[in-house]
Amino acid sequence: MKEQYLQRGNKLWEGSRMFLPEHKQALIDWQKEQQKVTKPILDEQELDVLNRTLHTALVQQASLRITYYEEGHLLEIVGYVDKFFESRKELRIVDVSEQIHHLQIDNIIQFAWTSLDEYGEKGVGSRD
Amino acid sequence: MEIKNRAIFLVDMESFYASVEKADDPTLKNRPVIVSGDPKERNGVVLAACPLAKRMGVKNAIRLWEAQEKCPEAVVVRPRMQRYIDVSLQITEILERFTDQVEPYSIDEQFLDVTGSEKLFGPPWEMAKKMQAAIRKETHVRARIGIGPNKLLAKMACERFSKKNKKGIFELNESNLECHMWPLPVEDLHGVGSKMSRHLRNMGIRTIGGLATYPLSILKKRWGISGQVLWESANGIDASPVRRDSHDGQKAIGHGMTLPRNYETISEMKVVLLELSEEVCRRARLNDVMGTTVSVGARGANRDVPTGFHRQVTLYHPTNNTLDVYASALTLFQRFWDGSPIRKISVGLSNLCSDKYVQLDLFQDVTRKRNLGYTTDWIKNKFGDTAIIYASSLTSAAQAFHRAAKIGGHYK
Repeated sequence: MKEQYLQRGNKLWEGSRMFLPEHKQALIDWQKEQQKVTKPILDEQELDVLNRTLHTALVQQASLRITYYEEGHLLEIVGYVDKFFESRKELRIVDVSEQIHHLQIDNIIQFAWTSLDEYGEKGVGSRD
Repeated sequence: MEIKNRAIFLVDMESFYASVEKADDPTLKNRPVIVSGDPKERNGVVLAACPLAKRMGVKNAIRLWEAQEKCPEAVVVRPRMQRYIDVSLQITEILERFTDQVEPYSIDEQFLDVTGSEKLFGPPWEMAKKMQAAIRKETHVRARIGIGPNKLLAKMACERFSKKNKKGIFELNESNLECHMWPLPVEDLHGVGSKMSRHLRNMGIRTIGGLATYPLSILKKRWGISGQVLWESANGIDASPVRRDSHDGQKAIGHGMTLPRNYETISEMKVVLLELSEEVCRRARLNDVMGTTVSVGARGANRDVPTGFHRQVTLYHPTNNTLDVYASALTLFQRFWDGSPIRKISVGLSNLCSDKYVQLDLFQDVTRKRNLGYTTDWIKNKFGDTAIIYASSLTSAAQAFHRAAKIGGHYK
């Protein structure tokens, strides 16, 4: 007969350990740091596609799913490109909940066509 | 998870604080070194002593004057906590080269699950030697390693054998458990405190083997789950996983402080309660969480007559707002404080949830309060912990400035 041993997860050790709050925080920060990604480098063709999609999107004020890079993370916004400031190389984007975002064009990784309908009329907040 | 086939390590740093000091200052080589707090600030105990000082009879946690009597030629250095945290993290990084499953257990101990790393680094013993060499080379700290099929045996192997043998490596497993671990006195088992060992001795259990072979049903009847945990430990059974994300799911945030003198009036208490509330809430905001349960603890000044309390209250909504937490903490404190002098005080926040969603309130501006908290954090992160403080932190009872310069009660 095999005995039934306790399955308590990590309680035995999490319950007995001693940590300085500062040490714990440093560990959490270090793990967050490890999750960061480096900014993807786009090749000529990808840049070309990006450029053309942006052009069409600006003309049509069409809805886009925009992937961009910010401080080690890839983030997404769904919305339309309202304006392109050429001198600052900056895009003004209005997302589905009518929030305005300013993005550096260099940080844009991808534009993908989407339709606002999939988010309902009001839409949901898209920025994580 | 197959218990038998796992390879778990516990890596422990020898005299960690003292070793770091010796590594950083070559003139300390070959001299006995003691790391100790400042006797003037009431924390003059030995935090670490290097092997040379230990040979003269210096032990951890004894008073500094006592240690100096035993070893007058010892060099006494003040702890530098931030440095030890940095080196500890550096060692975590070294260990992560061997496996991604590294779980720090304290500042100088880390668990590793190296199952599957054998193909890259050889059998456990060889891997352990490579780890020791890498840690030694890069940090000048000597590591001792316990090897076992689970965390409990790895810890026991390290604690009872690796620390005492020359190589600093020992392996406990099912086959040698009875011959090595069972003859040890029962208080050597992980999880057996002085109180428990007294109870066990009264039952006629003197060794770990005695506990292992004792009828489980009686232990369970007397202590419930804890009885079974001890019995399983004595038999070398432990199903705990090594979890690298063990620190993410923080269940509570708490900060406490030992006061520089005994505090006796409520106005003094208020000052430190506010400071602690701010520290706790700042940490909560940093980790994007809010808490629903606020707790307050206090301990009396008289060691012989232990007084004090630890109480908690559950709020209507989760919060990480300093003044909200402070208000509840103060109410609790006033209700349960008997007026006797206080030496140690703490504030905690638990029952944590994400701060992404907030319950709006008809009667107060939640968004404004929230923004205020995150803005003060931003200022502190940029310009230092004391860049913006409550005016009460300028009074004589305040500790904010002292604490900003310290970690774990010692200077950074």
